[in-house]
Amino acid sequence: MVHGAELSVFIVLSLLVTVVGFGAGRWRRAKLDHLDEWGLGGRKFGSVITWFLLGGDLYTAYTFVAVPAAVYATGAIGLFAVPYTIIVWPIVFLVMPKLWQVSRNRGYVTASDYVKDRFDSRLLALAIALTGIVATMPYIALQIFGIEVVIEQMGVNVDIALITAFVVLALFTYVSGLRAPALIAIVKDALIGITVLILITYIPYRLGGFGAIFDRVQQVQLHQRAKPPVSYLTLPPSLHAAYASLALGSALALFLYPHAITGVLAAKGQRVIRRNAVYLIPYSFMLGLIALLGYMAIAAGTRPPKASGANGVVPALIDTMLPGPVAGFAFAAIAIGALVPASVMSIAAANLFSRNVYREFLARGATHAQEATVSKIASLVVKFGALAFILFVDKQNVINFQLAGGVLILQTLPAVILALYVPMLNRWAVLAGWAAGITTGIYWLSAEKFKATLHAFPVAGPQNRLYIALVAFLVNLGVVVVGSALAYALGARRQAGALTEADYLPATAV
Amino acid sequence: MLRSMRGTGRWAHLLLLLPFVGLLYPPLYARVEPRVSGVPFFIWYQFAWIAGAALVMIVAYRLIGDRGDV
Repeated sequence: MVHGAELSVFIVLSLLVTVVGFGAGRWRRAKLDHLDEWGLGGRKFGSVITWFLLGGDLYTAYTFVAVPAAVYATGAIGLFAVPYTIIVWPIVFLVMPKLWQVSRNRGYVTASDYVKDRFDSRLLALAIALTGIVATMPYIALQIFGIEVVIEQMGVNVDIALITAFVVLALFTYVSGLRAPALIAIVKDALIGITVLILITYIPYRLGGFGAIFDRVQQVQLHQRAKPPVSYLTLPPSLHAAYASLALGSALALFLYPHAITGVLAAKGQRVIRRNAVYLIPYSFMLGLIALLGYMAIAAGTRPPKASGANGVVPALIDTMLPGPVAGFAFAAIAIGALVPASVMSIAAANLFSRNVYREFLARGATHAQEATVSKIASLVVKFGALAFILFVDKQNVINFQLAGGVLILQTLPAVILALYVPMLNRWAVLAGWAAGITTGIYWLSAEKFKATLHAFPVAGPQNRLYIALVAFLVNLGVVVVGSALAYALGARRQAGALTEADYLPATAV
Repeated sequence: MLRSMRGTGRWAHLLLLLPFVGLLYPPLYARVEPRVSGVPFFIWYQFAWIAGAALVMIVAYRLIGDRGDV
């Protein structure tokens, strides 16, 4: 059944965003046939725009759908997103200004650009670039999935709606580059902010307050038939290690994703990044509130539509609790929330391809204009690849691929982050560590049939499962340390590649 | 490394470890009581760290300043 009132509000808001997206190219106009301009918005984003861009980029629509769904389906462990999105900011505060500075000084557009110079190794740079592209593709597909679950709830033909949304997304990204998601992020945040405010006050009001909600959740917990029983209100000891490893592993991985690095490199100064590490924390509060929707759905007895599974629980809750136009507003917020990260992700993956694959291996000495053109086209390919992915691959598989992506991207940490601090790292050791991390990670994922990110490692005790990405990263790190120490012992000295100490310092250092 | 050794207030970076200690050891907070207006301790404790982490970073920012010395 088509929900008319919801749909009309949804369409009006979508049109508004389309206009903003196409107009964005004219904002602080510059030559968009240069990768610095198209792919990084000219590196001119100040604190405010960076706040909207990074916030809109990282707290994706899928997060808003999946986090409460995880709480609804798996209980307290689903809340690991809260500690995860808190501890990520001290990490950013500490590390990212340095990566930004060296990238600014040397004109890097991607993390792989840095890896290539730092280790003087095209091969390692290629490995890091391909890891980024492969990890990003299913992430884009998940954003489409986020749009899909709300469209499903409104009773519209899903395929046609998705294709329309993606043609629009592809075109405005192609025309305006990173300026488009940066400006749309402002609209998105306004919509999401209002939506969260409504959801987090009106639904508890309908359900009799938070006390009543958690009382009812407790009743559900007591009378459940699930074996082993789901723990909702707190974490059982058997899940402590899983919870901590999920939070730490995810936090370490987040800023290795190409779309996160693109958002950071587009800032206009170190100061912008440090300040945003502080200012972006309120988003984590919003995410926490959204996670509570999972508890509200349990208390309200919401049943998600069969087609979406647990991931449909938030749209279903919105649909049953809110009047039509308000629900349409909320759905538009979620869908538009998906467009921002999808756009940045496709730009980031496209930059990796044009910079570190195309110019490095296919057309050495390509001009800036050629590079930007290849990037624009690659962004189209990436997006329609992701769309095909979601239309033709089973939903559960898309989610599984994204989980695997997290395992893969964390393996780039030594090459991208550790390299900023440890001069002794050896390029072959880092490459071997990357390969070891990816191999073991995929092995453990396959042991879980790619359906779970937690695995029972004998070391941690028979009961305690751990996040695969983190354990694979420890393997990786072990290889990097031992390998680099060996190389050092055998006479290989400091490997700074093409970089000097001055490359890490602000040009106008006082 | 590099210029950073000359920076004052470098110890301030240690402050940034506090949220990790507070959040990555679940036995610290994995319990239901005491509740605050019905919300279990497990949940409101973690929410409180949102403010805690912000505070820690603000103090670190004041001490470290805007210099590019990390």
